[in-house]
Amino acid sequence: MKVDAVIIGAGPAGLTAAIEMIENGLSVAVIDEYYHPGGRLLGQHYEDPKAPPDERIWNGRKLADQLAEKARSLGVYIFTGVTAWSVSGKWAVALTGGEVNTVDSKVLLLATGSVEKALPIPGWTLPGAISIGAAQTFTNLHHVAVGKRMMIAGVDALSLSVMIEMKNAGINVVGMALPPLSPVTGGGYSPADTVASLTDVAGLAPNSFVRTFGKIALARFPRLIARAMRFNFLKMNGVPIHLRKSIVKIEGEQQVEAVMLQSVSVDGKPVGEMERVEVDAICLAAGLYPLVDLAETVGCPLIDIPELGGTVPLHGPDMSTQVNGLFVAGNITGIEGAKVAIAQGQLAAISILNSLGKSGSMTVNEAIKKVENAREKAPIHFLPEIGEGREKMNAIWEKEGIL
Amino acid sequence: MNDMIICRCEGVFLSEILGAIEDGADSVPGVKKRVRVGMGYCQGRVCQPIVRDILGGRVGTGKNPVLQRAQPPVRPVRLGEIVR
Repeated sequence: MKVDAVIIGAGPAGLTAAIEMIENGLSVAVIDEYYHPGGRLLGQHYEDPKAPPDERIWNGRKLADQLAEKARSLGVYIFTGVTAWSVSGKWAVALTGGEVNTVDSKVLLLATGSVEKALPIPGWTLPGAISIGAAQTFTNLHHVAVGKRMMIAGVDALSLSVMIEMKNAGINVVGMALPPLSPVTGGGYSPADTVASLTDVAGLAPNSFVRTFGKIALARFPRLIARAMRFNFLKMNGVPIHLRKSIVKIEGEQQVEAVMLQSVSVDGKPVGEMERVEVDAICLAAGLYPLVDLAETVGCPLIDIPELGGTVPLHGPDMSTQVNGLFVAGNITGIEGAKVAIAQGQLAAISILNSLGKSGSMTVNEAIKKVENAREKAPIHFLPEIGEGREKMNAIWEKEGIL
Repeated sequence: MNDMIICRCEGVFLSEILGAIEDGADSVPGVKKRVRVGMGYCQGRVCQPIVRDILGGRVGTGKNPVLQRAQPPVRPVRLGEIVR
């Protein structure tokens, strides 16, 4: 099969890019490993207090279906349940799992998104210990409760929103606590760091946060607040958030039976006694990192920028890379929400159109503005310093990227 | 310290990874060659970030530890599809 553009990843970035490209005269194929298009949109269901009144409820599943339906009706080939296992030439994408084995194209857009980081706590391989993203998919997409009595290890924007989603679905979440400091590196998740990172998350439950901390205190005095948190008076949607306790062990013979909680100092050092909490499931939240393997195999340089969530392909503000005909969009460029991914997908599509001598529904500069706008209006920022990360990448691109 | 599995595909424990580092490994490929970490079905998708953190904490050269290089096939695929 031969098309003008192949997109790997049918999430918000990939589907949006497909629509923009086909509406402006390109033939497009989208490939996704999952059986249903939509990517992480499929699990998302939350309230966005910053959105206009008629867009307050973010129903990712509905949006995914609308985007896929629109793309299909315009003539985009969407291959689901199909894995791209190799990319070569310019371009030949090798597939497994479907009837088509190879797709050839002039340009390649990698919109492969991100992967969850594992959180190794003793006992983390027991049945009943699952990642927060899997819990989100089970809850919102499959409507399956992952446990009867559960806890969440890791307090960040994603785990807090999934906790709210699980509560809304009637699941008994008995608490959230920090992961332990790494047994090996001693680094990681101290109460002070966690509180500092929560400034932005206050948007999720403005009442409980502002009532507890005050908006300014949250940003300026994380250590003070972390100290006060030993009395543990923060509750969100009725769920206690233990910011001065960490989950140091998961216990059970055949499956998760309990977690061991330990009080920790402001810096995360263990103090005091352990406490056993019986649960039958534990969600592990350690954040996301960009999935860049295909970019690496085609010779795209990778740059480590922690503010973006890890190692990302070197790319310009217009989503192009040093590799001729290779573009990137969405979480492969840094961990952000779906609205940013959508704007990046459109931007990448317009850059691709321009590279093939066509024009899109707006100019590249207008599309860049749209991305910045989406970032500003994002209800939650998964990484608090994402803006700095983007600037770093742009600076490296200016210096080394343009050949 | 509680020992635990770090690489689920190959069943490699934390203690084995620390042993590899003691033995001189200072990169993810170095640990991989000694104890098979990241050589299984997921090709390090789960354990590489953990191994990297462990190395970062132990080796302490101030530089980020070298990661393994992704190579095709990037996902498990039948031999028949490769030779087709």
